[in-house]
Amino acid sequence: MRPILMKGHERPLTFLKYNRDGDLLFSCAKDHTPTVWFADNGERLGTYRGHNGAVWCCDVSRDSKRLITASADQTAKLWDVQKGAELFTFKFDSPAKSVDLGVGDKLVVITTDPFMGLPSAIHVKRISGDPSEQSDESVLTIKGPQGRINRAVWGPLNRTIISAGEDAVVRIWDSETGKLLLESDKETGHKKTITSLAKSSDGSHFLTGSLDKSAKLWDIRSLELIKTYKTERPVNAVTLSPVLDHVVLGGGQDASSVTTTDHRAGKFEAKFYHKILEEEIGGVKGHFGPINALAFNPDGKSFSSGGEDGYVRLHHFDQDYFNIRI
Amino acid sequence: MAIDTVSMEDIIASASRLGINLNDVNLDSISLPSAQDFGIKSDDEDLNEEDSLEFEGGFGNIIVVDNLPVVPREKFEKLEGVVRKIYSQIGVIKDDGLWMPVDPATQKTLGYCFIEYNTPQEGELAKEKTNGYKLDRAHIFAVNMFDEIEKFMKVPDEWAPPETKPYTPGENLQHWLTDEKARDQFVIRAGSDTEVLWNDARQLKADPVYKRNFWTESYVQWSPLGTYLATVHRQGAAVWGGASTFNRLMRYAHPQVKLIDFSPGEKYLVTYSSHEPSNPRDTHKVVLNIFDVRTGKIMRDFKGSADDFAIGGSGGFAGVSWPVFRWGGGKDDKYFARMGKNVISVYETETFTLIDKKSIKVENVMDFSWSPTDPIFALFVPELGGGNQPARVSLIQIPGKEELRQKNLFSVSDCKMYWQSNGDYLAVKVDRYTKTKKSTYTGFELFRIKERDIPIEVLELENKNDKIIAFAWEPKGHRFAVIHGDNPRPDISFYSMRSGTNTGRVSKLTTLKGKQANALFWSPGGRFIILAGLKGLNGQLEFYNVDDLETMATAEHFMATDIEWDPTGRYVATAVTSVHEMENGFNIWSFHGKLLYRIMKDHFFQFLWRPRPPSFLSPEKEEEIAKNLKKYSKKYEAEDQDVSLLLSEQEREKRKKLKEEWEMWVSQWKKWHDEEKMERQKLRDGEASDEEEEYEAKEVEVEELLEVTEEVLSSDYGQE
Amino acid sequence: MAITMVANPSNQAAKPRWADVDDDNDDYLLPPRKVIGPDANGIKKVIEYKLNHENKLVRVSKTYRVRKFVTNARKHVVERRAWRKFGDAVDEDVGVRLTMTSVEDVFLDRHMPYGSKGEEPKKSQSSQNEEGSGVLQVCRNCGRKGDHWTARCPYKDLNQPNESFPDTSDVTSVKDVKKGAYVPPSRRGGEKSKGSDMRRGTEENSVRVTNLSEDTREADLNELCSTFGPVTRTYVSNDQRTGTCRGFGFVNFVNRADAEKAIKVLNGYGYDNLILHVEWAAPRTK
Repeated sequence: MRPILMKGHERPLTFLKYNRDGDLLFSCAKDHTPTVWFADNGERLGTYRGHNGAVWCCDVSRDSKRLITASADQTAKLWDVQKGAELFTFKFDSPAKSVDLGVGDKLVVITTDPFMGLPSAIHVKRISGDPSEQSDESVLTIKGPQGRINRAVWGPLNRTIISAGEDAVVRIWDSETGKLLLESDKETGHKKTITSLAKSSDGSHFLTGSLDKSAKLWDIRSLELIKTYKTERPVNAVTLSPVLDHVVLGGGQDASSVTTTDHRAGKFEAKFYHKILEEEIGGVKGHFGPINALAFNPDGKSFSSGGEDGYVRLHHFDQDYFNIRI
Repeated sequence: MAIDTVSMEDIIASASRLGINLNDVNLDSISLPSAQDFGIKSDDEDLNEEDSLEFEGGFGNIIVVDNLPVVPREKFEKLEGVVRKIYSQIGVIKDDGLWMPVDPATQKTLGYCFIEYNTPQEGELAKEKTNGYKLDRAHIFAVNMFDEIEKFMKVPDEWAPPETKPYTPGENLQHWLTDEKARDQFVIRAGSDTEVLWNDARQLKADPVYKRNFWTESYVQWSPLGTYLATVHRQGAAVWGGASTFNRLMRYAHPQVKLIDFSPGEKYLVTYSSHEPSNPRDTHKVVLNIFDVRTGKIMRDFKGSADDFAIGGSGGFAGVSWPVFRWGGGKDDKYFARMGKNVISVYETETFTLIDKKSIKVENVMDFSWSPTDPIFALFVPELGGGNQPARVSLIQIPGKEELRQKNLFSVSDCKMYWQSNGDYLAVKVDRYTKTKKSTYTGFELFRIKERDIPIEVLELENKNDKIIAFAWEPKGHRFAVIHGDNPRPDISFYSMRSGTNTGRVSKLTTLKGKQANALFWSPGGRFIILAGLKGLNGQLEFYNVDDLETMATAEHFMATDIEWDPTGRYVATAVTSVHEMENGFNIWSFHGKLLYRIMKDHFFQFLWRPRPPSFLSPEKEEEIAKNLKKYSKKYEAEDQDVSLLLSEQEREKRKKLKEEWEMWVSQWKKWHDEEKMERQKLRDGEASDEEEEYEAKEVEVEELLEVTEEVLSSDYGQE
Repeated sequence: MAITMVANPSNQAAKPRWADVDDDNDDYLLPPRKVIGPDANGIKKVIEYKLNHENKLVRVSKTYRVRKFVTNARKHVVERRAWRKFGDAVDEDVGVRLTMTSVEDVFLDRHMPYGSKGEEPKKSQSSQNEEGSGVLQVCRNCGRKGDHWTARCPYKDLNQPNESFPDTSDVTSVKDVKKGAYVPPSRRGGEKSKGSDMRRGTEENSVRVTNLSEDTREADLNELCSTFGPVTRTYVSNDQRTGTCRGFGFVNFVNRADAEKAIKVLNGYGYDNLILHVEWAAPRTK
């Protein structure tokens, strides 16, 4: 396959998200401008101007009309996808890290980093249909555990919130009461910061990636650990194929080895693993720096990766990919 | 060793009883009070216990000198002065350390005296140096350590024949060679573990044999025929071996031993240590012991200052280049030699003394090297007197010390000797100054040892100014490879000592240009070679077939530091050792360059294949097998196929199980998903279910342009 | 063969009927466009008339095959395709530099080390280098030696807009030389140090960048500097323990002129909330 390279960002990529129909791809990066692209040919559609800091995460509504982004400038912003207009700003006292819209797009969960003595927190806000009626009020605030929460997502039917972060523990909270329902086991769970989290297309299980060079697959209702995938590099991004039993992991270098230049230019790869057998199938090379973001198109026929090098690489699979037998 | 062990559960129980959260306890911060071992014996404690203490009674520094002249009172002082003078040269005699007892009856000396030094080493040295010293014709010193006298006194007068111990058959130390799958073993050291494993290439993994934590204190080494694994500890060295596991077979006491070396036939073990002198301005003291491997007996020891042993070549450890003693004469371990100032001392192992009781004098000798198979060594004497006396290379045969061949070389700046593995050829790389003396160029003198009169041939590279980066003989073969050139990508040339019809002349086989290689690794059976780029070239590997002169495969082991063929030449190991911080571990490849498997291990120090003894087959039998290889290989191929089928079978079973498990999860999830469907729709304000979408069935017309024609109309338009 | 999608097939565009047109304007008196078909096979013929440069009438007949089919284009998707560009993408047309298809074919590298069948993973570029027996592969784009030829430069995507730079900067550097002062050859203007001189040239075109932020990496510095010209090497000094940048780094440019320009522009430039300090690197002692 011939990947399409999109160099819209000046700084490293942080997050990638396809809309439900799979025709738009939203990219977030450390430069302050989230961008939307056409997912078939990589043509840039537009950028959302307004943030003053790195944009860490985004989510798009089911009808692809609303985009919500979280940024280090201590705000989360709501945008009109089509026009690029900023509709609303949720203000916080610390950098916002992660956003996720719940089923029905009426609720959003936003996490904020620990900052200047404030602990990390999980905020639930209501999104109103009419942006002029949008309020800043939180429906629920959960003061979080130590360390950064890198991702928080909704569980089935918006009844639960799943969070994961620096302390390597996955937690499930009740979204009504804010009570902690479940925690991942320290023995079998991750040993280092969890950097990424991705839900399956039906929301029944999710994948976490961690700097401990592994990724783990969990049941979303019981938080039972189902699978573990081992790699040789710290994992920065994970995604699952919606149609095949594949998971994709992307990662980087140890901090300790940053000074020793890796002479293998273009050799950072997105690694494909068989979801059930936990075995590596292969890798797709091409990035010049660690991979920070991965996303699969909902139709399962293409995926994109975003790297430290500022590039988004969009790959449409050949027929060979679908013929892989293991 | 019975150790009081507590199970993990008990610890957890105790912790919870005490209200301690085990996770908060930082185990690394716990330190045992010093000098207490809590009853946990260390593995080496028994080694400690049996050290012969040299300070028994504190008389270890005293020597007794016997056979002194018996002199009357008048001559006391003179005799004392003479004795003192002799013994002060060796060491510092303690104050009042010289005592000559006098017979009270005759008022004459008794004929012996006591001398006390500050350290036992000085006493030992004095004993060695002066025992047998001829003061005059009638008086030859008999010197002994004071403590030994006591031992001699205890010898019973009656000789009783020693008891015969009942014969206990030892283990078959060569048992590993009889492995049915013909696998080879290797030892690895990573972190504090030392582990011996089988290389199971069929199953693409390493099968453990034996593993031990803190098995050695510094490094491990196999004996040359693979029978023993030697480990080095503070108190000395030890060898391990056995049929199916590794038991300690023998210990060799040598405090603070630093380096060890086996004789090629595994009969002897040389150990070396270097000690700080008592007087900081002196040079280091060096102790070398030669043990009989099987019995552990010291056959001979050498003591001296580091200067005596640090001659020639580049200084290694504290000025000494190891091994100090080089063994000669092939697997019989008959001779060993070392180089001293202007001498080469050759000893033979019958008596462990110098051949003919004296060393071979060679003025200004710089380097010498034994043939691997015959008792011949080559030596090199550099140029002297600004060119007046040319450099020379000589071949000396032992025991006769005849000079078999000699060649004078002119304008030589440096020289290095390379023997071929069968002792058939010797290559001497000679760096010569150009006429202007500003730069050097290199040539090779090639000696054909096994031919009559040892003919010498001179070989120069096509580009004489090329720097030689590496040189290697083909083991058991007639070819050699040279890496030469000044570029970051040098050339590699292959030569053969035979050329076409004429077996007497060296010929070039080929030159490969522009290779990323700086090291050569021949397979132990010859025919194949790895052209490797280590260090700055970051582990480029090229597997090259020298028979067909073509590359079999190129590969890379990023940051590889070591490359080693297994003793059979079927597999190669490339390793990244702890010189680098990351990517520590090793890879196993087939001889034609296919990566079989790799194992990562942090803090990786050593990888060593276990050597094999030479084959017992006669050369004729080997040829016969090579001819009938097909017959033999069929049998093994069938076996291999069975194994791989078995593998697939096992794999398939495992996969089926995993898939079934997964199916259970999926069906469970689907059930819940379906149950929740209504809820979801409600949340979305009744929007259609997940899968449905508004599809617009559009009728679209597509036009495909087939043809375009243009036609100029002749009628003049415009007239209406 | 061009394929045109026509959304409204039945609509024939209203062509100026010759009778309606001003009589004075002779130019428009061309015979009308005629459409014949589509026939049973779907063949449609369109006949148009135009005037060529000699003012002669030309008849152009185009033959099309028309096919009708039903697409499952989801309504909203199709709608979104027609959206107007916004934000930074305004005034951009399709196919601008930002998005490009890679020339290299990338594939899912299979590795199967455990006995089951799989393709042999293809060897990377290093094996291709062996075939370039002895010739040093020099890339004109990034000046990196030995790795690849210009066509395969991994940095080629970055270099498109820079062709104009070397020319302009050369002119300025010539002016900078004082009359009569001795200028060492490496500093003389107008000298392009590409090609064989590269090895020595790059050592001297070394620029030191200080006051870098903690999370600056080599890739960031590379990006920042590659807009001035091809860069052979970037180095960012990092604290071994924490993995963060120590605050300084070096960049080696292929062209001295580019390095000069970089210094001029970047010195004092705000980057990641810190003001950069950029200057020539002190020459290394041999």
